[in-house]
Amino acid sequence: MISFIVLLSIVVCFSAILALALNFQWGLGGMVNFGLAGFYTLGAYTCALLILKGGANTFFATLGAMAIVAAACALTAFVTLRVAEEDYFAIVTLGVGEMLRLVSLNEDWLTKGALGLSGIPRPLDGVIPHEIYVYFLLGLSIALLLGTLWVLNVLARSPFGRIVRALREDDVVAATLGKNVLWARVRVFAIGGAFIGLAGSLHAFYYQYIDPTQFTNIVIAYAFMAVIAGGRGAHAGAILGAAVVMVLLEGSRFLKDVIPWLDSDRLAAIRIIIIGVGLILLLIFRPQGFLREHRLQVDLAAATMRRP
Amino acid sequence: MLQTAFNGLISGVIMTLPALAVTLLFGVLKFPNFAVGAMMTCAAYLVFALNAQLGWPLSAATVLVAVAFGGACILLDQVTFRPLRGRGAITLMVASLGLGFILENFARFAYGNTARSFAIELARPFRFLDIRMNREQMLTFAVSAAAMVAMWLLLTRTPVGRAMRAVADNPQLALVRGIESERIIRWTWFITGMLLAVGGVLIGMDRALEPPMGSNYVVGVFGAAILGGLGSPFGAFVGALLIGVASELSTLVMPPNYRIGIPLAAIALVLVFRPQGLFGQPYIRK
Amino acid sequence: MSTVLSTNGLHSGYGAGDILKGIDLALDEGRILTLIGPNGSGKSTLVKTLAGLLEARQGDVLFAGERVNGWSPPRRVKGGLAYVPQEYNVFRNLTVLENLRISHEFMGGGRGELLPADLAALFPDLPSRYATLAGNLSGGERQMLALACALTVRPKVLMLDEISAGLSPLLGNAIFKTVKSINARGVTVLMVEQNAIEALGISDVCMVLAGGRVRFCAPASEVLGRDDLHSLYLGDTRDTA
Repeated sequence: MISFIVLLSIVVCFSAILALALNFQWGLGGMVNFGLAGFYTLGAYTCALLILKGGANTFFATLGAMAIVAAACALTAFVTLRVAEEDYFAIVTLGVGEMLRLVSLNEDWLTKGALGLSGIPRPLDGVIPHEIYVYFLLGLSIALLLGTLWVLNVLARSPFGRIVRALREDDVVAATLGKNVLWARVRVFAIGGAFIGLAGSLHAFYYQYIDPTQFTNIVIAYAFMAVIAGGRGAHAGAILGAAVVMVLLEGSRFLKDVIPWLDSDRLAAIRIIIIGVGLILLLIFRPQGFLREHRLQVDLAAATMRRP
Repeated sequence: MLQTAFNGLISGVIMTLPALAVTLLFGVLKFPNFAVGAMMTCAAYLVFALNAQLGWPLSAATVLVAVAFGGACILLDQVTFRPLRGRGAITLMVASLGLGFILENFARFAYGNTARSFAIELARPFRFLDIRMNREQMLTFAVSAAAMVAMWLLLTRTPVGRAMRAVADNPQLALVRGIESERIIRWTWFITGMLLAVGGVLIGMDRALEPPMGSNYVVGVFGAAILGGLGSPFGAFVGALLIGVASELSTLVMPPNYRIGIPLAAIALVLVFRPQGLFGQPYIRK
Repeated sequence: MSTVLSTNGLHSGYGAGDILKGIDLALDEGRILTLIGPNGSGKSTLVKTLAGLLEARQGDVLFAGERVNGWSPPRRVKGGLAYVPQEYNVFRNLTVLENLRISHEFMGGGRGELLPADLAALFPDLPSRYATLAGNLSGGERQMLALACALTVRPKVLMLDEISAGLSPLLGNAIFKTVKSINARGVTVLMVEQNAIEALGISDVCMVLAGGRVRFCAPASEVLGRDDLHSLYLGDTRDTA
């Protein structure tokens, strides 16, 4: 039982990092990333491939994954720099995510396609004694989660964060402040991307085997539920949301024992239906979530450019 | 190459109905609805149930399911989107994503992951001008053309159709000209539900029936609607044909699995250079 | 002479805080009432609230003897309270004919002519433009179309939000003449206007709004005569004529 809780906690940690990344891009930057699953895939595969084919160790592989996903996100944001509307941007990211997913599925020479990549080592595997390794991994995950939280919070409260928030609030501001301030949007998306890469790397380390089916669009449902449950923009809330969502969902795997006449396909379908229903219910009944966004006293541009 | 272009034309024709549904829904409801793919899937499976399992002829099954599905979409809207009316586009998009998951997995739950086919007589393909075609494709042309004509008549000759265009053009003005928005929304769902049902059947005839069948078309269909101009029915029609042909032709120079790159590129190009698409009007938000 | 449209203690606004802070208004049948006041005084907000686009947070709106606070905009217009918004007041992607037809159909017109015969006479130029998309009309033509659409089913009260906005003085005067003729044919009119002098020239009553409250309400001729109001609320760019 203990080991189950430990393992579940590790999953919660990197899911929370993913939720925080989405929250940063969407809650702060106003850029909703419907391609989350695809970028997550990119992160996990990049990390795995850097180790398995590139011979890097887990640390550098993680950094590499973070850099690659950040770059991919930066490119996506750059191409759509002029697209101010949230929903159009979301469609583009959906498409990009789909492309990335297709690459993971089809480029056998690189990703082994549907077969997936196995034998992914874990950080410091040989160094830490086997009996306590899971606790080490848990500690590492928690440390990385807290680190992510700290970095993103610092950024959110910085002048950079204020500008981004102002941009999100008012497109007119964005238009008048000029191109180099619009670059802030690219940076926001890229920074969020780096942490998506981190989450993807941890995913790869945890499961030690990755294939395209792990990265379906359900990933984005989980992340959205976490962000919405926690209250969009409230970082600590995203973590709490991720914890709640993950516990419920991983816990529902036990349905299999309770209802034996369901085969695994059907069970998977039911779980996804539950997720879909949960997502919609959350949107209807819990739009603000449990915590609220921390508002800074002075939001520069937003405050000065409001009423005529 | 002519064969490829023809295949693309078929693919485009199949996309005209869902593209039109997307553009109508966007015009009236003001958000991109990602559940349309899964809706097509569900409708197709319902037709499968009547056709392959109960022995109904495909045409009768399609007609019945189309009408019933139109009604079902009204209900789905009441339960899912109506409570969220007036909330931002993102909220509605996420809700539509969730609805898509639910619908697709209902199909998966009921029928599993193995591919199915409709029970239709196998007819031999024939050649025309050196292009291989079959009867189902001719049927697809005919049905889509008929649907397009019907939609055109609806939108230009009937009060409901005019009201839909009016609401898409200016929802506030529509209110003060006596148009009850909820009533028009219900009508819109009924009509798009029918379009999606028929679209799903056409996909099922062209390829196999499997749970992701509709969702596979989402990016392409949105690409078509955006290229044509969201809110412009004629644009959806033209956009679908262009995307269909371009996607197929791209397979001559690119690996076929990345067909999706074409609508994606179209979306990116349109949004950056000409957000209103080919035939749309620049829509002023707020 | 009965009061066909009135409010008492009306409060409304967008977001936090009220823009209208207790408006008492009474519009008598057959009259033309013009609402003037500086920018931000709440004129447009008042008309939007009367039309039902904004909810009244406090106070009543009474129309034709009934309390219509809960009535949706379509219900109000079908009941005879027509409204021409300031901007985006025609369906730009529909033709002139379609604009008229849709107004006629949904405001309760049923079969019959698009415009009541006596009112149709006031818009002689419209039929020649039937096939044109409303978005392609000139400013003056668009305002006339917007006006005509509100009249397709003869309303009891017609509310206009800056109908002369953006028009040359010549066109503006023409529109005011048309409004006067509409009134002469039995339609009560409530106008919000910036071109105060011209508007008051055809009006019966003038109401001055500032800071969300009624400052002054008197016969229009009286208001035109006063010097202090002239400078404060009327024509900032105007010389005294």
